[in-house]
Amino acid sequence: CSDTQTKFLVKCGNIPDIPVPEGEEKGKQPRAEGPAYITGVATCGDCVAVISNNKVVETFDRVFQRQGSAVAVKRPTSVQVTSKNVVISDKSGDAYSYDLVLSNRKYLLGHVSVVMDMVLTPDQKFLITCDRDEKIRVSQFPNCYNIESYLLGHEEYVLQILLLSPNILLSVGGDQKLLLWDLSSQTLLQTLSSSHGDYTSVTFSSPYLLTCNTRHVTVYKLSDNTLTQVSEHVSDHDVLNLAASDSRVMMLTREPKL
Amino acid sequence: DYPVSPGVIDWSNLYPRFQQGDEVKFCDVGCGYGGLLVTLSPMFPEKYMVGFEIRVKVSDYVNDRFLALRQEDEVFHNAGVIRTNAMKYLPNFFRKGQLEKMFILYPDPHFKKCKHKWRIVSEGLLAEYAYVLQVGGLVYTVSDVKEVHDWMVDHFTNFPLFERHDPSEADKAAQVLIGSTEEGKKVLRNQGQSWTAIFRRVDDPHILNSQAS
Repeated sequence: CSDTQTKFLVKCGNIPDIPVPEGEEKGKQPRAEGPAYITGVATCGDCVAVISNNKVVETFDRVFQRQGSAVAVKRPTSVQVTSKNVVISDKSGDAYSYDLVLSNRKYLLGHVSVVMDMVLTPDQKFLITCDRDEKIRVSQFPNCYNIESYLLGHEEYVLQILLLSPNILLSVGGDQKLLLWDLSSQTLLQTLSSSHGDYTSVTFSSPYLLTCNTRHVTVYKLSDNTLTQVSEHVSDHDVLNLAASDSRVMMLTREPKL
Repeated sequence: DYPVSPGVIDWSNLYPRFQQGDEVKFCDVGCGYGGLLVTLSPMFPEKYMVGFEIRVKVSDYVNDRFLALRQEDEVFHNAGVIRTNAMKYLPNFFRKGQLEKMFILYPDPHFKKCKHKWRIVSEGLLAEYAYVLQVGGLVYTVSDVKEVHDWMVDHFTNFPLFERHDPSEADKAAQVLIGSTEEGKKVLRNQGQSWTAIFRRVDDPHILNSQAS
């Protein structure tokens, strides 16, 4: 799952005071530095899981009734949901699973550096995590102690990973490269480099991949496991984020102060 | 420091007789001054072995040591050292299931609780050790600190891909664990005690269980 194409309107904004669940160890309090905000969302079926910057993880149903809440071990960096579990990765490099009401926390795996992004394959057989030490690790799921493979090719931190199809993974690196991987043969299919600086946003809306380097937006089409550039656009303002749906592209930009 | 991936390393830079198709099979994690490798090298002449050491001056010393040894006797051609951080870069050097033996001798205890995550044996890192080791491969551990020995035994035995292993009489490596390193010799001189434990990489019980059901 972790289907972000479903037609949810996700509520964003300040999170009100979260009571710490009974029984949580002393010291594992939510951090209280300024307003809390949501840093990640994932859904599967009826469950919406939300992670925030104050270490709080919550699950809701489709009408936003809270189903569960927990204080994570460390600040979560990514969240994924299956029909039975919520999986989070954190800034220590660890990944944990919970049930859908956020109890029964289990340690799944650990990287030595921060896990920057995480995806679960749609068949829920593999959990893919990427870190600041240039590594992409493919682990079996839920037996994540069993590493299936490493996809090694980046020369700087791996910022983001996206599944373009059940078998094709795209990774975005601080080395200003996009790498396209075939998961079943564990091979590198294609390398794309940016000549416009770091990638600031990458989104996939099948079959189009949209990438952004601050103001430079490029659109690629994925076909036959190859990405081909189809158009480019230079924005007048810094682009903060990109989204695409059907035939529309939305760019969230930063207006400079006058 | 470390290669992008195992496929791009040229091991012949380290081993003068390394051929296409050869592979490094033993790894000493934290090899220190190279004592174990010096002992193992002539015992396993057909195996390539490497030590990882994070301290620059120490790895330079080991490098010089092997260059000098090879001048006297070519039998030492199969051992070498790489200055790198084993905690971070094992998968950069070794493909899945490459190693037959791994050695963790007298690891830094990191006594303080806040430093436990820097211990070379942790639940997270065991997955990486299981990844680079072949099924049936062995990890040899030694410590002169009982608490560290117990920690390692506890972590390895509770990890699904490892089991405690009793070495056979024929296991030559098991016999030299304590006496061959500088650390070990120091412990013997001070009449201290060393504890050893060996673990075998086994098949994933999760997979075996789901196949059975």
